[in-house]
Amino acid sequence: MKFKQSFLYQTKKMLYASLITSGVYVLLALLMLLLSHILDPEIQFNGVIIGYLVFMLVSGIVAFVNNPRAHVANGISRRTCYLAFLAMIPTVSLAVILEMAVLRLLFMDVSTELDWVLEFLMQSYQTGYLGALFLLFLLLLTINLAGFLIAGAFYRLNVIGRILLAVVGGFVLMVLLPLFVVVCPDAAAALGRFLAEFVASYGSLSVMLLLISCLCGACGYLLVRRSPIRSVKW
Amino acid sequence: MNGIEIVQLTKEYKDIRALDGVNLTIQPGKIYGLLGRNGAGKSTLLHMIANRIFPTSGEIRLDGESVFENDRVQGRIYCISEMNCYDADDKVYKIWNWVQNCYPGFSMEYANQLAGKFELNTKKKPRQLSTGYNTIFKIVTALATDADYILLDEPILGLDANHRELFYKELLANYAERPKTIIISTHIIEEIADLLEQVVIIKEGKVLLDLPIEEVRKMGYSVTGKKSEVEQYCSGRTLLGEEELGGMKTAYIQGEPGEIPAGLEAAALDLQKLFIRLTNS
Repeated sequence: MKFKQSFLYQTKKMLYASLITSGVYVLLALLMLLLSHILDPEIQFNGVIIGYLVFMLVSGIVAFVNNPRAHVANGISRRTCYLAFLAMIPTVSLAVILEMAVLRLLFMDVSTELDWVLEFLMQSYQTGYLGALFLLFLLLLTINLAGFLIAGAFYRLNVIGRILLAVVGGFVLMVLLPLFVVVCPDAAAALGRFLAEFVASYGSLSVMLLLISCLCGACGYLLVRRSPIRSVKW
Repeated sequence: MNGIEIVQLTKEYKDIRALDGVNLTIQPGKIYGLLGRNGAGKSTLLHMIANRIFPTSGEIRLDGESVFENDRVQGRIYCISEMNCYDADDKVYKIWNWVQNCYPGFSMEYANQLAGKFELNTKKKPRQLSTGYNTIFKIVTALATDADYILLDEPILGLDANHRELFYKELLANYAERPKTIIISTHIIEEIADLLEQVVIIKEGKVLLDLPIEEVRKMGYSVTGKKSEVEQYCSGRTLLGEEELGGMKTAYIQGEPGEIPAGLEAAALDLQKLFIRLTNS
């Protein structure tokens, strides 16, 4: 089993990408700082955490397509590649949390809205800074695995299946759900209250995120274990 | 050592049967030519040996162990094909570092030496290379891995005559240094014929022929001479093909030549002619 080689390869690639992302955020923060001096003192740089969440989602999507291909070409099975991927995500999520913390340290004095998601978590769940960081860690983990699962579903389906998945998914989210809220407001409110139970407390949210991660992880493995390797255009 | 055993291997894509119950044994330490027309199932077979795709049914074993999802077995196999597998943003030398991590036998020194001979720029990304140099990148990588089983699917795609010549030379030198199983799948049959020890021809997903090259060459011969004399000689013999130029004729005949009448010239049958005859519908 070439777990170590796979883990190091994937971790190195992801850390490199996350550092570039952080570098971009530093540049953006500096640019906003400059603009706030020139144009309007109210201009602030924010949304860093949202940016990192998008980064983790995209990384998960890319991982499904790129990782097995580069591994199978080097005689490493999909199973080993996936196990190393599972070990890599928490490692990189932790690194991303650290990068966020450094960004906060660098710019918290000049940009009070830098990590409003963190502030929101701290206030909503009456938790400290470290507690909110742990929730963010779980969120990064979950969103990466969700990205992997989404990419896997699209990769394994045929063209008709992909179109159906996109159309049905879009229809449910954009049409059916709003329609349900309008047509059956009581049922929608009851459903909302039921779902809110899962995110009501710090503990329940943590458990829910962990469960979703496990579910995405298990389904992701089912999709990747027999997935054919396809060429990429260079 | 059992080599690679392929047992009742079938691969279906919707309504196409790419491989149909293939049984084949790839012996260790031999250079194989895997020949077949377009769509015969050559690439499908190689990709399955390399764990890139899975069979609909059947099994492939290397020394008794399944090749599918088996790190230990796959660590002894390296396959190149038209498929681009590595990260498009990595430079050649970085990809080699990654390959070296997975194949302990990979020699960076040898890879760089070959890159020098082929004038391959290892600081470029594969996507910045031409088709020919992409092929060179792949064959250099394959040769440098020192894997026990090297599968080369169309290894001369886009290579000019000079590079092809160099490739054949380096392939033989590599094999002489440490014999290994090399499977070459290509359409340029005559060029590789002299490298091969065993020939496997696949037709419509089935193994049509699996013989040592000497025996394949004995399957037929050519006779050249005046048209009337050649036609007279050919009567009662199984003709594989014929060519005419002016009053001269060359006939390709199945079987062994025996005694050749005066005025006619006999020669060994070339592999390509036999291949065309065997694989024509």
